[in-house]
Amino acid sequence: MFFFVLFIFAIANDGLTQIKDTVKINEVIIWENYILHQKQTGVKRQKLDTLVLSSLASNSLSQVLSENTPIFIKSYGRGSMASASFRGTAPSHTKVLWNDIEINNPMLGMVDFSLIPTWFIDDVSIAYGAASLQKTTGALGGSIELNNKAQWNKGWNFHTLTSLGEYHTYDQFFSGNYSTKKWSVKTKTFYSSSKNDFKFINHDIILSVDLSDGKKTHPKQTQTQAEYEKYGLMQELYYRASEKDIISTKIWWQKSDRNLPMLSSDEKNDRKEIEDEIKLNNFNKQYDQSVRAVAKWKHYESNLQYTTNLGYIFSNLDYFYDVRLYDGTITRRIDSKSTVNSCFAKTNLSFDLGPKTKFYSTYNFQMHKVDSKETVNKTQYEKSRTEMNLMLNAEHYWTKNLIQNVSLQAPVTDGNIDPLIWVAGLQYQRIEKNVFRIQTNFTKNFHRPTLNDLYFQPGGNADLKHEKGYTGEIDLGYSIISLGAKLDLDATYYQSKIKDWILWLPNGNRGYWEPMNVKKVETKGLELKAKLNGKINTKIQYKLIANYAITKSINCGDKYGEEDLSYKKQLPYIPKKSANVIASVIWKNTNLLTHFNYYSRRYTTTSNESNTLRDYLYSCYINNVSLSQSFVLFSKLKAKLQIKINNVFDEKYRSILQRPMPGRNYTILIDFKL
Amino acid sequence: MKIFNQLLLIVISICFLWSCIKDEKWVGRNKLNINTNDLCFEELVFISNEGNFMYGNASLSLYNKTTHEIINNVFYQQNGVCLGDVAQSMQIRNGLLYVVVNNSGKIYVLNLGKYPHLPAFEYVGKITKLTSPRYIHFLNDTKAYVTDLYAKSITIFNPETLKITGKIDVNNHKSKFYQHPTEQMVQYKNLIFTNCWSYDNKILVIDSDKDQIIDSIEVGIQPTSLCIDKYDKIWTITDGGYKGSPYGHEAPSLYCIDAETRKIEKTFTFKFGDWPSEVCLNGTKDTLYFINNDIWQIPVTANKMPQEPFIPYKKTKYYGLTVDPYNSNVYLADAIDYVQPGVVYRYSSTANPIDTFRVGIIPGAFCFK
Repeated sequence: MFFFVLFIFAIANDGLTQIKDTVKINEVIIWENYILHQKQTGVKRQKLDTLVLSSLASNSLSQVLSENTPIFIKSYGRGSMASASFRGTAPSHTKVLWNDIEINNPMLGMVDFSLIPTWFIDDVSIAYGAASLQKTTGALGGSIELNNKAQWNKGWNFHTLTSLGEYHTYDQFFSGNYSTKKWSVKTKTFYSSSKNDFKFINHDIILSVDLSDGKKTHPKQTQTQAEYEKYGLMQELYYRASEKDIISTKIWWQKSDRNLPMLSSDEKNDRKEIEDEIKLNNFNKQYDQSVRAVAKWKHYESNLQYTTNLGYIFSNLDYFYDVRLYDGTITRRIDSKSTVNSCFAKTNLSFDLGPKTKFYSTYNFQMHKVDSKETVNKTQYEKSRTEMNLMLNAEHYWTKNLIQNVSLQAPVTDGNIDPLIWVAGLQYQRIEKNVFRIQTNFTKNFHRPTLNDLYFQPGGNADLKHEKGYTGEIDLGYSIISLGAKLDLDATYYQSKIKDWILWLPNGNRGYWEPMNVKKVETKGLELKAKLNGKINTKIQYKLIANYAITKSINCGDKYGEEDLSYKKQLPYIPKKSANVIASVIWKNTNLLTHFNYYSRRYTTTSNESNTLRDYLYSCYINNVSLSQSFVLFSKLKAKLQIKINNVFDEKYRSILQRPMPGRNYTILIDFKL
Repeated sequence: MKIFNQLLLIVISICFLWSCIKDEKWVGRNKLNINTNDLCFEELVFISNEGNFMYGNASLSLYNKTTHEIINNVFYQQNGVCLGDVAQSMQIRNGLLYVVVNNSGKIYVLNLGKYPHLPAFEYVGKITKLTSPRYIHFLNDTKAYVTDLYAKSITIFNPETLKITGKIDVNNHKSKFYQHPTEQMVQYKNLIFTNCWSYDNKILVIDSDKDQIIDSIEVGIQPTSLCIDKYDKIWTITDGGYKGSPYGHEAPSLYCIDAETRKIEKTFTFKFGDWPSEVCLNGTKDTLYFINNDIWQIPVTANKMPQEPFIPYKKTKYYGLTVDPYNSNVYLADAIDYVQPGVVYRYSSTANPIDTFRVGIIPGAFCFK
């Protein structure tokens, strides 16, 4: 198979060099100056490389983030739930905005990144710490901004992508665009499904034992109950009403149906000894459905910009757990359904107050209504929450190179005035042949308890306080262009204190968990980034992007009695070190791309033991390689054939205890553009 | 340009890193290999640590009362395999240790002398395909019951063959709640009594000859635990439900039930909002112990609650409690923050501290031979 693919690449390259009627023009490289690509001074933003987004278009956003940013993604398995830890914080401390509206589930506070198809997103920006406050509050770690963009005056465009992978995985993506100078219409759809039936040797189960000498064997198992099916549609419409006005609407509908696999130590089900045949005595399933819609009006003047967004989100999450009774009948043990309706209204106004001062203000309104019920135990809650926020931001240029930024926000929750949020930032930049920048900021932010924290039955605690975060950071950036290459370097140090951190804990023998404001957490870390791109000769271009992060997320809360060993220890499931490297070489129409991803040891206990395999997850080094070849089939029809090898070295790793991940696997992608 | 070519090659090479740490390296590491002949059961306490739900990090600890030596992770060290998800309870019978691993749906059977050529804690068998097993009660050498939180039945198995031989239907078709979730068991003559805790209020009475429910005793909301004293009185303690519970919320109570007549003879009602649990007896079965924030002790013949606790609350929530049947020492389990190895406090029968030792995550159950 591998030689067959190589053969195709060889033929394709050979064939393309023989096309004689192509007019060759000299190549021009346009450097993007990412250091200066800032919307706000004194804070750190990162825009994900378009090469990265297009290479991972068939994957979910969880893979994009874990392979390209210092954000740690905690995945429950392939296709299963994936939550984020940004700068050592909790999943609810990472806010996700889609075209400026917040898509975090107000019940859980977090986003399942495995349900965001990269195909639907044109642009991903990472707002670190204080940078998130430009568009949202409560993102104590930072925020992820997902945007869609219009195309103008390009006529008809079509793009399909088909992906066939191991474990009966099939993905189909389609987009169709039509644009004139005034109108732009985009339609995107996707369908993904997988049986996810990878094989692994299960060291958490003893298959058999020889009682004469105690020798044991472990089963070679096929992963079961891990199937998923996801599909969705996104419709965008843009209208340029005048030279200064753009009106747009975007609608995103999506459905998913996932089985949730049991732990690898589970033996509830009737598994025939070595393989496949399995009679399910227990199984659980999750259905997610969401509709997100946003309408936007953007008005430009020479020194003024005005934007209004109106948004609506409906989401539905059904989870059930079935058990087989002694008489063979199946009965439902857990039947949990929740519905969320959210409305958003947001206006932004930015204008220049003279040549040296810029002013920016935002008014943000959100209303969430949640109906959560579990029909077997008959527990439920129905609550709503209104959140408002007024933000005023001023930016002053003391000199051409020295800029100061001050931002104040007045949030209100259900009519109650919350503490003020503020940011103070300072930036110095020198733009000569090379670009140098140093910036610093100090922030106070807070995170509201989620609606489940407050009202979930049983356990919800209506007396919870907001989690408060104080952060300081300093960031250095340097860009150099030399010898046909451009090198960008960036280093950031940050330190945060988070008070009243909310944690769900079992309440003695009550049999359920309760959230409490128990922890004081200090996070600090270093983020390093290097980006190199250039060309060796007219035919070979290369790109290298490397991220390295050290994250210390330390519990500094009061001790639970004298025997508590968690004080001053790293929080569970947060790696102290992480790194990722992307290297890409483009030779004519062939592209070789490698992704390398590393996470250091992650503890599963608050006291950070390393005595047994279950006390920590060992460090993992994951390598993915892809080779693609582009063809021009007709004048406008372009095709690309790509082969991907995931987990090249067949690394055995887990992201969560007793949740095995697949070994080396292959995917073939075929891409057509018209 | 050659420099760039070389640089590129180096960088791409660096990208391909991999580790060589594999699961297999843990198998056989620090293997215990304790000879079963060296086990002096009168000196030993077996402790099962539940671990976190859905983490699969349950474990087993072994404590020597004389030397105060503690060995943690005995199952893992001997077998190179994790015990599973939520180790609920244990029983020792005929040279074997039965460990109920609740959310893994299995019971592990470990050697404690039945196979003298194998070391202690060596895996020798298992019972699987259980739904949510909780406790074992042995009726004889060939018959045992396993209660279950979700299965609406009690499983019958043969300890000699480890095969499931039958089920006892405990499905309550009349209730709108998921019943009956069976828990702990005590025996009086041929009758087995079991408490039904989650969203329930019954003590079921099972005829072990017919393997059928023959009666039930209604108590308060959610009876958590069960024991039978020297006078054949059954004791259970309810937690009263929780605020906002669709099943109701009331003041919890301690009940004394006559095993012969199956009538409630005494009721001690606690304050509304209290959360008592873990009722158990000393070795002579004449003194009752339970947790209600503090640790309380009461003679089984008493008609009112003592004024002062046996062991006062110590800025932590006690999770498990047991009394040594040999010397009435009290063992108290503290899960601390529930995400780190817990601690067991050992007290004398007169509440004097004897020892404190660290075990596994969420120590829940104790076992003496």
